[in-house]
Amino acid sequence: MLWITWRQHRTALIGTLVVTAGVSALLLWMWQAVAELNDACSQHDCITGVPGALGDQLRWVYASLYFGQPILAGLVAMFWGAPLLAREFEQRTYLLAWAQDVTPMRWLGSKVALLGAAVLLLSGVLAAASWQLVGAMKESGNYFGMDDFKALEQWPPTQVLYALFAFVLGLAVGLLVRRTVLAIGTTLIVFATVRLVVAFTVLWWVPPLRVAASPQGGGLPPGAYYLSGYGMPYLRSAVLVYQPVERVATFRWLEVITYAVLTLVLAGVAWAGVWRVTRVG
Amino acid sequence: MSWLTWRLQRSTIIAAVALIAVFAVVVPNLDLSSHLDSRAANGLFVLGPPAFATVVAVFWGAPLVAREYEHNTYKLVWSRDRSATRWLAVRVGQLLAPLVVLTIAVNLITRVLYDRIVAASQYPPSDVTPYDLWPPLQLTMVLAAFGLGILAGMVARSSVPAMGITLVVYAALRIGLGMFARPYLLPPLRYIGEGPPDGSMPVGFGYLDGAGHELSKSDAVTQCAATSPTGVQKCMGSNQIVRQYVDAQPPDRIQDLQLIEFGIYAAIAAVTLAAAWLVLRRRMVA
Amino acid sequence: MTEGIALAVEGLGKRYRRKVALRDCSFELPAGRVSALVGMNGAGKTTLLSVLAGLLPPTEGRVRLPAGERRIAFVAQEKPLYRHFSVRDMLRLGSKLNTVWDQQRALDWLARFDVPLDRPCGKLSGGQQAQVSFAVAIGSRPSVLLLDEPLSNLDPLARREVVKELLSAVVDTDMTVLMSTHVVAELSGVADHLLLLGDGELVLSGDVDDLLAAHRNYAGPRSERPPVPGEVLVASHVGGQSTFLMESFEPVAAPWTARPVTLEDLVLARLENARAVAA
Repeated sequence: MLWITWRQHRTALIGTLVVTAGVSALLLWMWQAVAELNDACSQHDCITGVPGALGDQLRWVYASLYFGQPILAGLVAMFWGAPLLAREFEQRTYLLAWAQDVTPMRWLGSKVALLGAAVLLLSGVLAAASWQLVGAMKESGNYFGMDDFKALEQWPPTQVLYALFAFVLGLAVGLLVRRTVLAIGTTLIVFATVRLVVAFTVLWWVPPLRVAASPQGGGLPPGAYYLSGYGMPYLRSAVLVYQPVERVATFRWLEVITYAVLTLVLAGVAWAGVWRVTRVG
Repeated sequence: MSWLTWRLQRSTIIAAVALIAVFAVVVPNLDLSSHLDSRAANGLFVLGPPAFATVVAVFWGAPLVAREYEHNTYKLVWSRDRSATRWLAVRVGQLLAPLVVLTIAVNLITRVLYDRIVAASQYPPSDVTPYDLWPPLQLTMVLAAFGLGILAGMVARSSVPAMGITLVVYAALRIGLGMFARPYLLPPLRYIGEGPPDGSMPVGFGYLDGAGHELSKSDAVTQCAATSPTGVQKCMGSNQIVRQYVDAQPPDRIQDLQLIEFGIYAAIAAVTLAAAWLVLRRRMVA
Repeated sequence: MTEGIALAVEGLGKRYRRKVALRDCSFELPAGRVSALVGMNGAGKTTLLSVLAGLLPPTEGRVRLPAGERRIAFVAQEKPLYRHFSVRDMLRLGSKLNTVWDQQRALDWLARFDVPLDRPCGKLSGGQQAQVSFAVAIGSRPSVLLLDEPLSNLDPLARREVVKELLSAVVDTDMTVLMSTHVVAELSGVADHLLLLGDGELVLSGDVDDLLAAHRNYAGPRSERPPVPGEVLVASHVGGQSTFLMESFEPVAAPWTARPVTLEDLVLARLENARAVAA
């Protein structure tokens, strides 16, 4: 199965590998640049801060950090996952592949295991590289405004599971839709929706805390993530809604568990679907 | 649009219309006083229009010709009395109208979103429309995407690789041109001693020596740029750095930049469509 | 399972959402022989073969294979191949997906039909694509080979060659073949066992020789009643003469004459009858 998987998916594999290598190299280069400036600033006391000293390179920092991971996961979902079953159905080659000694379940299992391992590896490399950059940015102090809440999605286990979810989502959609282009499009839409919904709502999944901010003092505790606020004019103060820094781990695990559950459910759907098609009566 | 074009493209057209409809419903319903919604608004503002153009490239452009090859239907639709090149011209021509209408819709919704973001921010509103939202520029960005997709489909002759190539190339083009090349489309103006006027597009900054030569960004210079006021004086003195400069594009240049970028995208659209047409003609003659 | 049976089917049925594609099919395939699955378009041949190949779950009934080696190869009607694979890659795929693989056998088949090994399958002619599908199936040395309309893409010369090669493969390897067709003329000299499918139901099954021996064409003076007892499949009365195609092998006295039936006559008569009963 190793050769077959490679032969059928090599274009997608090589293409994704090249993109991942490029983005990872960019991330590591930026990490290097930020780390060097951190060093220099610790000796000379920077005024403009590290971001200012980065100058033009600052754009690369944000581009690689915020576009790299979604591009990898998107490529995996659209070009590894979605065509895997959809193309076999569309070109009727499942009639060939599943009528051999290797049972369809083993065929699917091997492919998912091999490609899943590749997803794990590629997203792991990218996640490690971006986590290095995040670490360096956090070290720079307040200038980047980088903290664990802002880097919630950059936590390596989240990134890796998120790529695996993308792959399995494509697989399941391909099974249900059975037409390649349509499967790719549907996968893209579902993937983007899930990703955005989780990213924008996760901090509300645990009821946030509230604190009154008034001229007399009081305000957000250090490291907290500000969600929203409303004024209370009669008290001459405002109420701030926030998540405290101690909950970072909770949210990390919430996201990881969400993607893990979605991944398992979708893998189960794909599994059951192929089993239903080919079970011998 | 003829029945055939509609029948072939209806799922992609309906999907695009549905996505834009969702966009149109979401924009007025965002609560911009909430931090999360304003984050979402910024995300939609930055990524919405490029995402639309990318969807056009990948799902309208790339499969247009590739699918005919893949399903062998080109043998059916391209024959002696209905030439392939004419087929391509008709398909492209008939898809242009919905493409333009949908692009204008995206443009209008994004403008509403921009106005809402500006109204909610603490900064004074400016009457400058965002760079990308100049309608001719946005339109040619979408047309270039469409042309690129068609050419990729022509070359790959298979939908999925064509879609992959289109996605990567178009994303690289937009990121490269929009984020990195844009400030250099005209040689930037150098402001020495004074800052650039308000509303300028910043390009970069650096240091000059006594003779007015630009100093390379060696480690020493980088450190000078980042050290405390007293440190800077000393550091600059020891490195014969005398003046700091800022490179920028002043506000009255923005329109010229937009025009140049418009020209680049228009050229990409024209070249890719012409190339697809020529390749098809050569292939049919050969 | 009885000796000499390659595959047995009991009460097999397949219902799609509204349409019944197969109804209560029971039969046995004799081992080491070529059986033909005959039926008109839409009779359920592809459904039956797909069920036998394990590519379609039946709604009822079951397929039984002898214990031990149970290896079925299936060549679908579309002769699907991976279009970007070279012919050599397709053979490699076959070797990777099967526990038993005879590369030489597959190569011999392709050489016999002049199929270039290094060309992508998508660039081959329809006939050549069919040959690659056969080569992959033959290379896996199956105990049962299922072929869905195997000859439909081939020119008349290639048909004869394919049939010849298949028969020699059957003799060499003790393989059982079940091939479907809607062209009865293709069967003469190929199949020695017949399964006749009419509208999802098994109309007739048995050895071709036995079936032919059990049927006669009786001709004689005009008469409403046949000259011998037995089931009448077709009766025709033209002018002063009557002809009966009957399930019977009784001899008759003059002026009646008895002639053997052709396979084509028998198949068409049975299918006509089945349709009339259904209507």
